Amino acid sequence: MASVPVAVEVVAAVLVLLPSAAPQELPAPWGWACDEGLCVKGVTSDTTTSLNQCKLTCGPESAVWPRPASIEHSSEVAFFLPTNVTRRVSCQDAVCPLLDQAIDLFLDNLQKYHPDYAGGSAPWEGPWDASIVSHTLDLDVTIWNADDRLSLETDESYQLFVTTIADKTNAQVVAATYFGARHALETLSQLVDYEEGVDALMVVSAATVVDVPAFPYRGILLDTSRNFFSVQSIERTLDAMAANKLNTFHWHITDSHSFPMQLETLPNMAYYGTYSSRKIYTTTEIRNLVEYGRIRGIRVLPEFDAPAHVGNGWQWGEEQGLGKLAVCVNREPWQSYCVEPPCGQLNLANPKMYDVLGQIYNEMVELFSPIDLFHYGGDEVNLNCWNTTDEITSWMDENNFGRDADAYYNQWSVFQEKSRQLLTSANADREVPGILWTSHLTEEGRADQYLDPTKYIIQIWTTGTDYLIGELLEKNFRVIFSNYDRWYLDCGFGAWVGEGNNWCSPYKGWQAVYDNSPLDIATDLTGSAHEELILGGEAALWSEQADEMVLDARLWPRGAALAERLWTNPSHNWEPAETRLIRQRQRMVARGIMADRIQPQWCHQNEGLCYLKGIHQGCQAMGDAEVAGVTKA
Amino acid sequence: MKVFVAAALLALAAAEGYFRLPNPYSYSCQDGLCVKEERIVSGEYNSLDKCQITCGEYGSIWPQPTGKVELSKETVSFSPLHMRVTKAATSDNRVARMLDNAIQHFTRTIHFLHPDFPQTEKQPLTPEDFENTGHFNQKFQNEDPAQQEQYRQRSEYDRNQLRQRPRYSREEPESFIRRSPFLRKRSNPGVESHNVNIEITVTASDHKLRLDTDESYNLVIQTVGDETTATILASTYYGARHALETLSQLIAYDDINNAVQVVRDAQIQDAPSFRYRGFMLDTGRNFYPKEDLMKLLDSMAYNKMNYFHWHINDAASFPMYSNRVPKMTYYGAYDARKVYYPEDIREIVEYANLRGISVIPEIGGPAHNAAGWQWAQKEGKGKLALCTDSNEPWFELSKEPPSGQINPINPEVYPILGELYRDLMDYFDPEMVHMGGDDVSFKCWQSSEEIQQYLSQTKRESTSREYFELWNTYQSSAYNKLQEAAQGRQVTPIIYSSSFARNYIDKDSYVFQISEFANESVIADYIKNGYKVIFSNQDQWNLGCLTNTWVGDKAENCPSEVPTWENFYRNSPLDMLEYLGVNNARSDIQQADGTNTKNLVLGGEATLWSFDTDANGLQSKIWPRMSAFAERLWTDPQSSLSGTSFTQKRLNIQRQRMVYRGIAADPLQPEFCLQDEGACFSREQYRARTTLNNQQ
Repeated sequence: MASVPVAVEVVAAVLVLLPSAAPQELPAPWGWACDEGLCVKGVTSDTTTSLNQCKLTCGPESAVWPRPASIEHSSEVAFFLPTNVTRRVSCQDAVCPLLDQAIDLFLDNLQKYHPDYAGGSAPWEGPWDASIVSHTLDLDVTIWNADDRLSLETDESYQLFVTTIADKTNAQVVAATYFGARHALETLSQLVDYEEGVDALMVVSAATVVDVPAFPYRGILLDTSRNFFSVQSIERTLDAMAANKLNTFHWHITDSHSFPMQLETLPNMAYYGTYSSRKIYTTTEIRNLVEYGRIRGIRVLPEFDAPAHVGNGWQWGEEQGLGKLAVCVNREPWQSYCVEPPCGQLNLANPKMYDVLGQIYNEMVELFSPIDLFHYGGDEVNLNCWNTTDEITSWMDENNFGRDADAYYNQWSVFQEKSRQLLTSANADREVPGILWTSHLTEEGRADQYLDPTKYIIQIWTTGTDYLIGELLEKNFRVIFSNYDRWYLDCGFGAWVGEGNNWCSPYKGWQAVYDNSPLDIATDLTGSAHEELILGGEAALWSEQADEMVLDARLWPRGAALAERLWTNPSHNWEPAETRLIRQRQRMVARGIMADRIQPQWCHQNEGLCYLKGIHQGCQAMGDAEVAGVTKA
Repeated sequence: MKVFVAAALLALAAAEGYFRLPNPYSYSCQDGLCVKEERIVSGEYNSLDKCQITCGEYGSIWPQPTGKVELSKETVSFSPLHMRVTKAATSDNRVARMLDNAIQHFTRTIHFLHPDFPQTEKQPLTPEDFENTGHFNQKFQNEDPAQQEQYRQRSEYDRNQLRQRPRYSREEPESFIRRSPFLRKRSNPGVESHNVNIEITVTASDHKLRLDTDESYNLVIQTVGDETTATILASTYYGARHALETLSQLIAYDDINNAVQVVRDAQIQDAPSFRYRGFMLDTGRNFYPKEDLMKLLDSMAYNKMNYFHWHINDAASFPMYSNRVPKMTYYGAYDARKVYYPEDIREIVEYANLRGISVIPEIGGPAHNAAGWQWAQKEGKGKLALCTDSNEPWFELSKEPPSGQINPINPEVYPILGELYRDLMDYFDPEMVHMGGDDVSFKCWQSSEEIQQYLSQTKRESTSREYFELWNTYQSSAYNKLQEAAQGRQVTPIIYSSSFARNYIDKDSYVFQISEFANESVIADYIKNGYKVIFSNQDQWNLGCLTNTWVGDKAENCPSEVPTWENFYRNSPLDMLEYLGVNNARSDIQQADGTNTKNLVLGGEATLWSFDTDANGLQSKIWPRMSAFAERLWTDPQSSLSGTSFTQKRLNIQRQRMVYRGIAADPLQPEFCLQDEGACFSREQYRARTTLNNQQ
């Protein structure tokens, strides 16, 4: 017990400090200083600022994600309250209502910077200096043209000028289209942050941003068939996409597992196909989501995957006198008839199937109206399914099509052509480009035999080193990259049938996502970047092992890494982007997105110190001091 | 919103017959699996929920009970509003209040079964009479009341500096029932007349879980006419709580009657195979709000886990508010919002206790220390932590950034450590304290001028032998300080396994946590030499490494294969010991000296180091993989996993159950596989099934 008196002394010493212990009170005694683009932590002094302020002013890109094509900014900030934002807009009638909503969203996002935000208006309490109370942020937005729908030709560029004179900060936005203007507001919101010391917002006092995306197609795929995702969770995904200037939500709405889409004229599809009556997207909800995306600069792109990847939902045909619409539905053992359970493929021999398909297209075109692209799916057809189904084999024989693989590929391509005609007729005879996955139809020497490069865009999901990519480009197909070795976000967990890790393991870390450059891949394979053919890229979240519970953490912040690749197409690798990505991740969390952590918070507070060297052993056996490498005595 | 949608659907159903509820499918139990079939219009309708709680030897109980289980194939429906406790017999007031809380918690989980219960409102239930449970009103430390009051005022002052609002409002325990969808719409009349009575008898007065606590229970369900009675008999509160958990797993939603249904008759005898079924969370690298820790404790209770090892601080941050050394927190916390204040900690400890969980705090050393220790140098105490200079490359000094290790030769270290331990005694009243002992870097000490000077002054060489001695200086001084702080109470320290631990640590004073990979031969040595151990094989039971690597982009930092739920399930401590040549590892026969293997193996612990995890990813990274781990430790099954879908199907249901209760567990499979338990088979499972069918 000898040390007890010592302990009491320590306590006494601490207590003596208490009354005048200002430097030791919470919040912490630390401040940050900008040193060559990095925020360096030290004891608070006259030359330090809060971490937020440092992050806003220190690096060349401020805290903007994705990095703009060009940005300059001052190292000063101006403090203001979110209630003191004015707006002046110049726009055409078609887009003014959209712009109003975009500005409202911008104001909401400002509220969310408050650390105690819990919906609605955050608890701004002050007390504030007069200079803060009187300061205004004046928005001045000009949009030239009346485009209110996104297409591959839409001009998404914008210019943003921030200037501060006395108690006014002016933010001038100039953009050709609404879509450029909303991107500008997103950028402006990222030049703002919360300052704890004064309980107010701060904005970079001066900035010039001239910005344009590198690729016109910047997408996220969500599969809502293997598992269901609520409308709210999809809205949250669209919010997060908007924060990263992604512009395409590719909705893989149905598959063989379930059919969650309500169709007014074909109620049996969902009746037989949903997981439960609560797991359905009503027509109203779908229309609302399309509009929700449009306001955020996002096209909601529907996919109706066929002729494979259909099954549950199609069982009602015989009962209604239409014959078998799909074959091999839930057939076992699945290993023989499809790539994963449950099986199912459209019945090519049944002409009534086309009536139903046409009706589905009719409704989808209307629900997602107006469409500028349509995804036909078209992957992973299993010939053995068709070739072991009597109805199909006798139809093949009757028509003298033959029964070898090429015969089936031919009939598949006939199906694809009929589908295209049905969709075009559903779309009032307006032809829109169709998107198809790489498949047997696009294999070596086949693509141009079956598909017309002026009518189809090919979405690539093989690896980034597949020579097929080069062949498609040389045959003039426009392409979207989703090479699974970098941009499949479902990889890296336990296999869901059988044991071991899943087929495309390991997990694709954000660094791998960031470094995947379509133009570099094209150059490596063909010697040319083929910029005019590469529309962009898309990260895919297939949902065999994801649902609403894990959606945000699976998509973010990896989706943000994808966004900078597609918006900025940086010439450098992930390393210089790391601290900014962490900032962007924090911003998404503040906006209600449950994005995953990628580092200890220590790395956020100590920029540049979590560098790569040696091996971190946290995941390996811990304990033995010998590994530290000191010679044995 | 969901309510609106449901209403809209019902309207549609009425208007157009669009949705003929419930759906066109019915389920039948075939060879222990619920198989989906198109419903025959005139035939009997069996819902998936009903099939799942009655199909197979264990229904959907997780973890599987170890004793006798008899379940009837029938269920009986009732309204959760007609479920009440008719008897809660205990001679102890404290236990009675704890039972009240457990029953409230149980009742909520039944209401949560309704698919329209808003997910966002499934938040932890703060115990109403928390202040009155009395546990923490007793002053553990011998300090005068004025001193205690001063601590309280200062920590409250620091906390009030924040504008922070609690994330969840504290509510009356019953108020959630007012939001229950079961209340808005009555159940079918035939169901409304059925009553469910719960009768609980607890014989002992234990109100704190210890390693020797009897967690066994008996549960009997009997239905006669309009009455179903569930009778729970347990020696302790902890057994009774487990019984309520099991009972909740015999109840499912009934979609036809807007009600719930319970297995009509059942008998279950159950007791855990291992007494330590733990989980470690690291709150030093990333912070977790209090409410998230409470949800974690809830989810552990759903799997009958019973120890929460709280790795509070690390080199990266020191988030615990220290009453006695608050500067540790001022300097060490990430920010003022990321602090566990004493009242938060006590609330968490009490919450855990009500969930049947004991909290083991860790303030470990000598490695993994930097944040918080910075203040002392400014006050003339010298360097308490070494290797904290960011100009030096971390990889020369430690396994990860930031580097930092206690300075074992600075005598100022130990009184401060003693004060921190006294804080732990105050906040946790712990049965055990974890002292760390992992990742010690001799290179750090080797690079320190101060240490080198000390070695040369005392005429010692810079050899690993001397560094082991330094480590021992630290460990024995820290141990003494811990025992002083304990003031005569028995507090058992836990230390990570290492060659240091094997050579320097007294096996009778400590428990050893084995982090070696499965089947490493040294593991057997611990048992052969009579150490008390907790298994924590880092290649099988580490929940991290699932996603990004956080330093650089080299995926090789982690094992090439992520441990799946099968790894968590298969890793059997006793089988491993048999494999390593420990005889009769599974024997129940007591050795004369009391050192039989089963006594030495306390159990196991799964770990999550928070390099790349915070509250957003926590639940999905641990669940349902840790459920598999929980069944290993509760049930210790000896049957093989391969070739059957039975474990997978029960695990899917357990995952779904946790989701219903507001836990964001990872889905292992498409929902299709949950709805058709026989459909998602591997080749091995298909062969096993066809063989079985051919035999019949």
